[in-house]
Amino acid sequence: MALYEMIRDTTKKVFSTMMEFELEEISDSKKITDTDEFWIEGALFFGGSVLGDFRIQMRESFAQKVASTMLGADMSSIQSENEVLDVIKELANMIGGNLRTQISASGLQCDISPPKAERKQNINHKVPSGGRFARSYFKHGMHYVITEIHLRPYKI
Amino acid sequence: MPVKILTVDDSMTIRSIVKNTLKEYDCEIHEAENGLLGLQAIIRIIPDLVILDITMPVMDGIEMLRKLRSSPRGKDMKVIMLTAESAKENIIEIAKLGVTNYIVKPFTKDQLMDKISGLVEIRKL
Repeated sequence: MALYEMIRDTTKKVFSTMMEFELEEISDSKKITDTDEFWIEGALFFGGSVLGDFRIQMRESFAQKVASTMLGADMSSIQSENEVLDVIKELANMIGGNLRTQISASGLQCDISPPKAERKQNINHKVPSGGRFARSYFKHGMHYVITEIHLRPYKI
Repeated sequence: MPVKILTVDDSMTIRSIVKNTLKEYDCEIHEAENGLLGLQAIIRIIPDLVILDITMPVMDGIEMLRKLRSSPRGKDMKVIMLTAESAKENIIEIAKLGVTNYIVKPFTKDQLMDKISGLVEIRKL
């Protein structure tokens, strides 16, 4: 199971199918942290013969654009933060559900938790120790998206 | 007479996508946020089609479908199940429960419309 390719391709597929947003994979992540705008992070957890989590992160302004596109509404009509969080939660659910299918197909049975989403001032850019980890960076116009997955074996 | 469609999903996003996809069609859209509210809505509305998510709080889609199929009114009701998991075993499990069709997330509006129009006669406004 090539974790990086899996998360890269699944993220691109979900954005392209649901919003017709083509994401460009990038390797230079420096610009992503240039502004002090808040982040919106969606996440869910894997549990079974592997434990771990999946996260999707984007700046608040892009999350609003994503929400308006997914909901088929004008940016100005997206009034509440809850609408944006619900859309990012659903995106995490779609990508995470597809990842779970691929992880299980590789012989590692697992379930996923309900997704959650929150507004954050900072996100963690550290690479966690232990297990397997992949992070992908994307660009869409002037906006950036980060997705990451961390898996480790379940041991008692 | 407009087609009556009930979307049962805890995600406001999915409910909005279904509503937007159908806005140019002659149909009544009803919504419920979980399986329990979905069953209550079915008694009240008697929809022509139910679009049903699997993972929901209070009562999930699988439990709701089981209850629906065991009732005289719901045993033949058309149900499209939404799932984010495309594994063959999951699809077989869903089929065994008596789902009429399914759609794997992510999906385009055209894909959703194809599934709906394959099950109910729906005309453009």
